[in-house]
Amino acid sequence: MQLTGMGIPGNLTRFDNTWAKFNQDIWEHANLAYTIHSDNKFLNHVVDSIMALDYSTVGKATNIYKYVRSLNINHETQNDLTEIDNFDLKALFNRAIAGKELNSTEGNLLLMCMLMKAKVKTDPVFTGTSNKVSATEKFPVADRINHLACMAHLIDGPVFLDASNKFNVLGALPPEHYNGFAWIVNDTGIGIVLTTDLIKDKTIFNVKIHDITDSNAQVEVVQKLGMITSGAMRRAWDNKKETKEIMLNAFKESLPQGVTIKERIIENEDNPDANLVIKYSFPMEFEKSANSIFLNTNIVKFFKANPFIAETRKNPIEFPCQSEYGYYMSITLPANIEPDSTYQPFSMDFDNNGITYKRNIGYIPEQHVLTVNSVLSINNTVYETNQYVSLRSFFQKMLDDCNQLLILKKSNKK
Amino acid sequence: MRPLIIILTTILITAGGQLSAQDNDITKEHKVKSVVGEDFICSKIPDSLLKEANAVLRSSTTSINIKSLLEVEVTRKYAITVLNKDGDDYAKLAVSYSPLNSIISIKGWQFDKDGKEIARLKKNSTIKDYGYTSVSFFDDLRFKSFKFEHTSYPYTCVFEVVEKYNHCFTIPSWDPQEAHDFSVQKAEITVTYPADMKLNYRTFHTSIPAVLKTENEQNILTMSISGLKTYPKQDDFTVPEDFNTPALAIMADKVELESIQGSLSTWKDFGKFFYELNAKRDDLPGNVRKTIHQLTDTCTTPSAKIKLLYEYLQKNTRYVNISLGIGGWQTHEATFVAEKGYGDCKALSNYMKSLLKEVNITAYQALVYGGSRLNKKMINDFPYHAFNHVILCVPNNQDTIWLECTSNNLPTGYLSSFTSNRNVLLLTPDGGFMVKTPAYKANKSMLNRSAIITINDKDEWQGSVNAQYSGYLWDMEANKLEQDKDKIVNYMNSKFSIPTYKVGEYNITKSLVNKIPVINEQIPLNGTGNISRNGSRMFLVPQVLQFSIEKAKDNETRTDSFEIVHDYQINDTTIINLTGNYISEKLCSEINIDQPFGSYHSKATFENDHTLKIVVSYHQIEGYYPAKMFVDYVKMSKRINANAAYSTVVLNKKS
Repeated sequence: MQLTGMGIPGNLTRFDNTWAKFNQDIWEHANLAYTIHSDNKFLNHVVDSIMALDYSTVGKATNIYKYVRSLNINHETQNDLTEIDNFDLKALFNRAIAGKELNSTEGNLLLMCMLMKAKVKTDPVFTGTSNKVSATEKFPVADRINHLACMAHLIDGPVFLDASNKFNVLGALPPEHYNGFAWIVNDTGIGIVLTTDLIKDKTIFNVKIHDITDSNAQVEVVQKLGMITSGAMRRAWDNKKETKEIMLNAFKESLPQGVTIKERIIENEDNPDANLVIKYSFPMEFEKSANSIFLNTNIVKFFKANPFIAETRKNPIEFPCQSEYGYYMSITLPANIEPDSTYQPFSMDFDNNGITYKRNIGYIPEQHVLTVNSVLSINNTVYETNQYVSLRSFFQKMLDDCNQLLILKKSNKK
Repeated sequence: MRPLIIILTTILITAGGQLSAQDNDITKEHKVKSVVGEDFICSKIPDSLLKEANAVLRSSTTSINIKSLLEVEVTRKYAITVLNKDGDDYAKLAVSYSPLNSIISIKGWQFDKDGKEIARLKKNSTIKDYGYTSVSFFDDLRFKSFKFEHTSYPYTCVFEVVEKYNHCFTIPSWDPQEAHDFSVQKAEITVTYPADMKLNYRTFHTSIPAVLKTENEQNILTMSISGLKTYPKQDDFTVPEDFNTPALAIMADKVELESIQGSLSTWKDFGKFFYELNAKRDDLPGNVRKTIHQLTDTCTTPSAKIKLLYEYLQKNTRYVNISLGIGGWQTHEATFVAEKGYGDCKALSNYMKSLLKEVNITAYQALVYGGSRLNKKMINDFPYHAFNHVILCVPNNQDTIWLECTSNNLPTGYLSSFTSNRNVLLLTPDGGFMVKTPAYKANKSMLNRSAIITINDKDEWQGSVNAQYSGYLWDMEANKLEQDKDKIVNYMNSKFSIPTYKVGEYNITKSLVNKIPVINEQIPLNGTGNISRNGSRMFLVPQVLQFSIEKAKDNETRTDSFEIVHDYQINDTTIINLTGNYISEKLCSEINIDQPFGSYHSKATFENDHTLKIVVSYHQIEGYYPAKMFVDYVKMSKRINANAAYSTVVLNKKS
């Protein structure tokens, strides 16, 4: 039996050795149930005016979430989660509208209260982030729970909300919260398991190559990052201003060497509800021989190198979320250049389609367009240690396939 | 009851704001909003000082009052405005103290952006008091630190610190601009000392002179500076200097430590003082003397004796930094090292000197600045504390032998990049002499490798890599090979570029060639990866060997010179034998780069229908180069680090 001591006001220590007792302490003894329903006219007025934008449950949840997310919340600070007893909703709201800084716990508590006032049933969710050992369902261990988020009950089902960072994504927690067991506090309380396969991210690379001459071509790359990755990048850039340039330079280094980026445009950088889109254009020289031009099949690679470097591994492998990476390249060839050969489609899967990779290279002679389409899908996010060697080999084969070159031959056509 | 409360409250209010044994002039202090008569409204900071800044030194007054050789009082009053969270650390107060210097008082205030006082350092404020133990084991240097809490930016912190030193061996230098993102509105220093005392001083990075005048039998040296803007952050290529910003360094002409008096006016005097401070501490215990003679009495040459005794030192002692009081500058006795088995650089070099003296070999300690980059250099005409380490010099006719006494694995006579190729101060009975330690240029610092690989019909790689490291390139490899066997195996299994491979039973031998250490490695390996096929075509990334050079960021606006630190040469040959016969459709491009700072060449050939050969060479040339060349260095470093010599090869199998 694990005893978990938590501090409460008055220097008394209570011991919650079951999740049920923990739930009761928070819901009843800490008066959370009472507080979230406590009356506040001004808060009610604000909620009413937000609801007026859209009275649907999804609309209410979305607009209230965006409202709270836009407040001055410092996501790096939080209350002691066991000391949310009797928090003063009125004082909290007054601080919020005065522009004073709230911590992450306060931000999400306010979100929960406002949603409840808008008649959107919402429960607080206690999670532990991935920098901590996962919480266990057997008993609560205080130092494994370090964050408070919300779960709103919408028509289509429950949705997790965390408004503590202005770049958090509506409808999902940041990936680090999917760290195993978590607890939803309400009149009965319930444990849930947040796993990385509950969230999915989709990143697309669109590449266009045109104006090909004997030695170079113009390249345009549009990188549309998945919402999860977009949120993570925005948060990282906001946290430290140097990070943005470091990350963007890392992308540059994944391009064929010698490339000088002519133009870079970032779209939706400050819009957390849209995918981050990064556009690059650059001239690219390619290697050639007397009669042929050699182009990378993948100008931009999903991974610059095999992410699995070590020869052996002691721990299971977990990807941060379900992911899909799509690479779609089209090359507009001049009349006197054609592909030298056809390429057979290539596909492989790992662990019964837990991870799949497909690549197709096609040529449309009428349009003189060569296309390369590759898709890497990570559907299952967790793999056992004994699968490591095969997983590493799978990724290497994919990288080797991406290293192939397109061979274009010059003809006498004009 | 109420009057008592009022009285108590008044006392508490007026007692705040300072941490001092003396409570005089409290009311007067509380009325002072600024330390130099200016307010701290943040909007008054000139725009030119805000650009790229995270903090601004609003004003600073430093007073150094040298009362005698054994009494110096330093008062610093300064105000820093923190503009954002990246500037918070500049407003953190950290003051050191030790048996050689004490803190007399600390006062502090905090102001908001409008110059309104919002907090002050009180008696019950939490001041951290801690020792600094990151590299020292025995160290009596301690720190007091304090940081005001804040809720919004900008804010201003003002501190006044009074310290006392019981010596003038080191007088704090003055360089008000702490970092590249820290601008300076106004700063001044005043040094007061008796008219019959002499100070040597030097300004750096400024044309503003320090002004000396004499008044009332006191010399008064003053210097002030204002409007220092931020500057580009330095990188790994910035030429290191003693000071990177306007500064004033001060040295007393005469000094006294532990009743040893001396002069620091010339390098000769400087060396003589250090020599005398550390002299007569070389008695050895009887058992050690006996052991030394047993080891060396049969040796026929001094070199042989030196080698044996150095190896004896390496086997029986270890390095521990001991900086207690004057121990920071005066060595422990040789008996201390003999008994304890450890010591710092002074003690270990003194001990080695004692061992050599026992067998009638003369050696001299040498003060040096240790580090792969020379952040402090000896200035010919300004003796100055430009050292952080001690090594030993053993004159041996034309064949001087240098010994790094803190190392347990360097070969005799080899110094490594830590202390090679720089001026040092030899400490002799006749005084100090500037000499230069050996440099290990490219003809002595080399990496020669060959990889001979066969790829079978299952696309599996099998072969071996032979490598020879010498000089500076030996340094890095030797460190890796000093680890536990498991870590060495992991290192071997990750140092080559075949994606999935494993090494077999490898062989490592170490030797010394003309006093230059050499490591020879023979490493068998097998692996897979970097090969894909489409029909009869094979796409091969032929890289087995890899190296990278210092990464350089694009900087087309660079205005300062840059430094390439080490001279060395790398020669790599890769031979890949294929199973079956092929026609080469595309080989790796030939690369030829020749620049004043280095050259990079690679060439690939395909021979006999099945042998691919790639030869790569890189020669890095140390030196200082003008800013305009940096763009070319960046281009070269990108090509090297992108492994341009090993781009994908396309082969077509012959039917």
